[in-house]
Amino acid sequence: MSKLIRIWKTQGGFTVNGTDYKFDDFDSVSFTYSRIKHIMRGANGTNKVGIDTEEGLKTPDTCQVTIVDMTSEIHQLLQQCYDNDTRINLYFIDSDNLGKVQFNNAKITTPVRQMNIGEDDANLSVILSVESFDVEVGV
Amino acid sequence: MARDVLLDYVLKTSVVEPILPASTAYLHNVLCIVPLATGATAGIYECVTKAQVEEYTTAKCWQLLESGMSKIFVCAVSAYSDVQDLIDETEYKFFTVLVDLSFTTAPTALTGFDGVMGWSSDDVTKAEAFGKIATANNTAFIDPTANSGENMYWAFGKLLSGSVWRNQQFIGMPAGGMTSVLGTAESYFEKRLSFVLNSEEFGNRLAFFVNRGRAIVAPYIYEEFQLDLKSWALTYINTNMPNYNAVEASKLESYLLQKANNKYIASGMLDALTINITADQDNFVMSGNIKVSEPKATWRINANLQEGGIE
Repeated sequence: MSKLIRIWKTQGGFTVNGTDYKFDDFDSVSFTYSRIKHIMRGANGTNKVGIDTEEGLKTPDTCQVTIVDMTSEIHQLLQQCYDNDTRINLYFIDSDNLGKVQFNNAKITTPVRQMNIGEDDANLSVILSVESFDVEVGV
Repeated sequence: MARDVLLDYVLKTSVVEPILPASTAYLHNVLCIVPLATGATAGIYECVTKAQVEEYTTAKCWQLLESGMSKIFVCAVSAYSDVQDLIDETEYKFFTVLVDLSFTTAPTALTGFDGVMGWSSDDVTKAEAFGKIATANNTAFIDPTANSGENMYWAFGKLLSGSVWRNQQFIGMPAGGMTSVLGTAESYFEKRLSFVLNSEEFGNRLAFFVNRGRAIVAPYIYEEFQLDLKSWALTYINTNMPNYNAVEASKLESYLLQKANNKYIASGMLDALTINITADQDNFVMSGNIKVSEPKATWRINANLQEGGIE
C-alpha cells in the first residue's frame, strides 16, 4: 500500500536552521504541483507515440496549511521568517506508515495571519502558505 | 568579576550554548617524515618558513610551503623506525603523511593513522607495490632521486592548500620527472603511479596523481563527508533532543540528506548519495545506511579520429 498520509496520524511542523518546531493543531493541508507532462505531435496527426513535453518547471510547488492556534512564539517565528525571507523546511509525516511530504527551502509567500474573524470556531486559524522547488515525497 | 547580585535577582538567565560545527582543518595539514639534519634533534616541528624547515632537515619538503601551504609539520628522524613513537606523542593533527625518498624502503603503515600516505621513489617495482596495498590510502610518486621528492611535495602542497578539492590535472611542476617517453608514461599510468611528464613545449607537468587507483581527492572528500555527517547529527540531536521513534528518524534523515545535498551534490564533489535512518533497534541507537558515489577524475581521453569523415 502506498504511504498515503492520514491527518489524524500525522505530525506536522517545520525546521529553521536545523531547529525543529511542531504544529500542535492543524486542520487541513493542500498541495499544488506545477510540473505537468504532456505529449504533442504535428498537426498532420500521423505520429501515434508523440513527443514528450513538460510545462510548469519555472513555477514552484505550493503548500497551504491551516494551523488551528499555535503558540505566540511559533507564530512570531513564522512571521519573522516571512519578513526576513528566511527559508523553512515544512514537513508532514504519517507516524504509522512514514508517508511524508516535505517542502524544503520553502519560502513563506503570505503574511502568517488570521484570515477571518467570526463566530464560527473555524475562524480561529492561521493560514501558512509556502512555495518550494525542492519537494520530497515518500510513497 | 561576577555580575551584580541585583541583576541576577531580577532576571535569572541560563545560557544554552550551541554546538559548533566540527573543524576540518586537519584535513589540510601534512606531516613530512624526513631525514634528520646534522646537529638537529629528532622530533616533530611546526614550520612556517623554508628557513625553519632547513634547521631540521635537508629534504625539500619546504616545497609544500612554496606551493601554497601556510604551515607544515616536519618529523625529522634518523630512521623510519623512530617515527611511530613521535607520532604517538604528538598533539598535532593531520590527515596526510609524506615520506621522503631518502627512506628507500617502502614505508610501513603507522599505527593509529588512517589518512593518506605518500612516498616518492625512483624504484617502479617498490612504488607499485606501495601504491597497491589494499587497505591503505597510499600514493606512490615515481620521481628521480635527484629531485629529492620535490615534485611530490609540490603536488600535495597544491592539493592541500586549495579551498576546494581538485585533482590537479596537468599543473606545472618544479622539476623534471622520470620520463618524456610516451610508452613509459603509459606504463606508469597502468601501474597507477603518480608521475611528472616532461614536455618540450609545455614544460614539466603533473601527468597523473592518484591514491590507490582512485582519484587523489577521494579519501579527502570521504573523510570530510564523514566528519560533516557526524557533526550535523550531533548538532541536530543536541538542538532538538528527539525522542526515539520512526518520525524522528525520518526527520533526522531529511536533515542530514538536505545538508549533504547542499554541500556535496550542489558543489559536484559527489554525484549521488542516499541516507536512510531508521529507529529499528531497542533504544538510544538508530540504524543508518548511507551510500555515496565515488569521487572520480578525468585525466585522459581515448579517441578515434576518422580523417575525412565529414565533408
